Amino acid sequence: MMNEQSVGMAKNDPSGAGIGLRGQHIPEIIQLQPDVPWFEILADNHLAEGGLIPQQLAAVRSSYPITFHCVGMSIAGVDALDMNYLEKIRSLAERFEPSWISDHLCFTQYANHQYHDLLPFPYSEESLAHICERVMKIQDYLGRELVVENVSTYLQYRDSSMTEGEFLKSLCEKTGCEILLDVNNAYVNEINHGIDARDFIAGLPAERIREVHLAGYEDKGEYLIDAHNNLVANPVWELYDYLVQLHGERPTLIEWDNDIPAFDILMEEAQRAERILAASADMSAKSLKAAAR
Amino acid sequence: MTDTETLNTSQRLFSEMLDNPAANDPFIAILEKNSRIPGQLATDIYRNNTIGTRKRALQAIYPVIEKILGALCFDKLANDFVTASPSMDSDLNLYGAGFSAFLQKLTDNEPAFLELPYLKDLATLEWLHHKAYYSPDDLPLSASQFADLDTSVRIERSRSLYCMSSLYPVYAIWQNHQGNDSVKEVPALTDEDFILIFRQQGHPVVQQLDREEWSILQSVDVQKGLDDVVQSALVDGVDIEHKLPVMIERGWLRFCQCA
Repeated sequence: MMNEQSVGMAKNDPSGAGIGLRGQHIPEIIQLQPDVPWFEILADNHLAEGGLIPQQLAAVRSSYPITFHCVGMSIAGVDALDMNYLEKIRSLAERFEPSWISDHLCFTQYANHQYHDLLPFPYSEESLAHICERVMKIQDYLGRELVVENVSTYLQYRDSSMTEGEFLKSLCEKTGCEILLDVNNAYVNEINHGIDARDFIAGLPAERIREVHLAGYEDKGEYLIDAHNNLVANPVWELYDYLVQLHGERPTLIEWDNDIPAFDILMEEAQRAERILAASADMSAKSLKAAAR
Repeated sequence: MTDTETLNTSQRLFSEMLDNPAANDPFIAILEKNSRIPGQLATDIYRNNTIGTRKRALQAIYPVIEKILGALCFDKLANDFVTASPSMDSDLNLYGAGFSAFLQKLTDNEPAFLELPYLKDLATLEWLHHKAYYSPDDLPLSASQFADLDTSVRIERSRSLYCMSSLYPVYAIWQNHQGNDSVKEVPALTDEDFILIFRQQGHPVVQQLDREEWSILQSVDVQKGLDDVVQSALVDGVDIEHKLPVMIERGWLRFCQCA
């Protein structure tokens, strides 16, 4: 039986290369209905109870599958979970039925001071036990598995006893959560810390990777900033190609948050990702045929 | 409950470092010493990110204040405000309400701002404009509902409607800075400036109120029932018989949802 909430919503099966939905593009998307397989919303930008924001999202949702990307759960935080925030996310999810909900492996607040930034923490057994407990609580509350994203960082802790990849893998094993693999973040960390991005990707449990993010960084000379203000850089495309060949196709998202360009530019980036996905599917089909002979 | 002593310490030191550049060293002491990005640079990156995010939020809410002060001056004030005012809600749209009080301290005490006494009220207008955009939807009272209304029933303002008053011509100043037209001279006020900010078809609209409309809206905020609003208006000589139906027609009022 169709859920009453589902009336007027597109079928929810994101695949291929989607695009991060941003406010300035929404009227164009509603009017022109571009050929995009799915959109991801920054859920934190859609918490308004009324007005244009929920109306526009309803219009987009009627034609496209969507996923939620969050920045406020403070998964690694030591402050109590912000139940008011989680309630808003849950209520938004009940209304718009995203295929999945993701947030970042970081903390965003301490002593109720909100930093609105993705802050890293030591990758230790102590952190792992604490974060497992929180992820389980969040999953119970949202009634679904959480998808957790690796972050880019500009520092490393002396007390870390494992890599981010090992940490994510253990977190998945202990909580059943899934991974949002941000390829740009993996590359930024390679340049900033010398962490081999291919090793990082190869070490992740393939079956737990639910989604992939692609974005542009800003080159500061000595280091890279995960600025989401640029085209996806060539080394990141190469890494993406490696990931797709190694782990197979995954729903992939083009993220662009600052100095946002015309929607056509994002479409071109998504089409480039689609070509890589198609080439991988073609290779897989040929391999299967060869094996069958 | 798991033990989080080390994690807690690292987050406390991180937080103190972000809030206060003088607290850099204890945080740097817990970082890997041989990192490619030196500790001092790492703390600068994170502090700049967190301050920059809140400054951009202020910039989005207060575009007219920025136009009047100029980009450099606004940036300096935003920096001072953000450094002194942590964000206390995960919703960044709720950040920046205190900016008008911050500006008032300047206009009251700093000689350079003496010629801009209206800044606080202008900031209030921009904050209410921002708030109206994000306010909940309401089902406004219809004319037919109003005609059948029991006079003891309580009515209230629509939740996306805000009003304010000022001794300065804030409406004209705000209006003057919409679009790219050259700034016109602002006429002196003959009465207080009564201003309404109300969301229509998704977009906040700013308009002036006359004293009678202002008086009715103030009365709606404090009176117990429609009867009281009417009585209060009659005592004050307000033409409620004509004004109230127009306000209803414009969707400014709704049934009170309070217990």
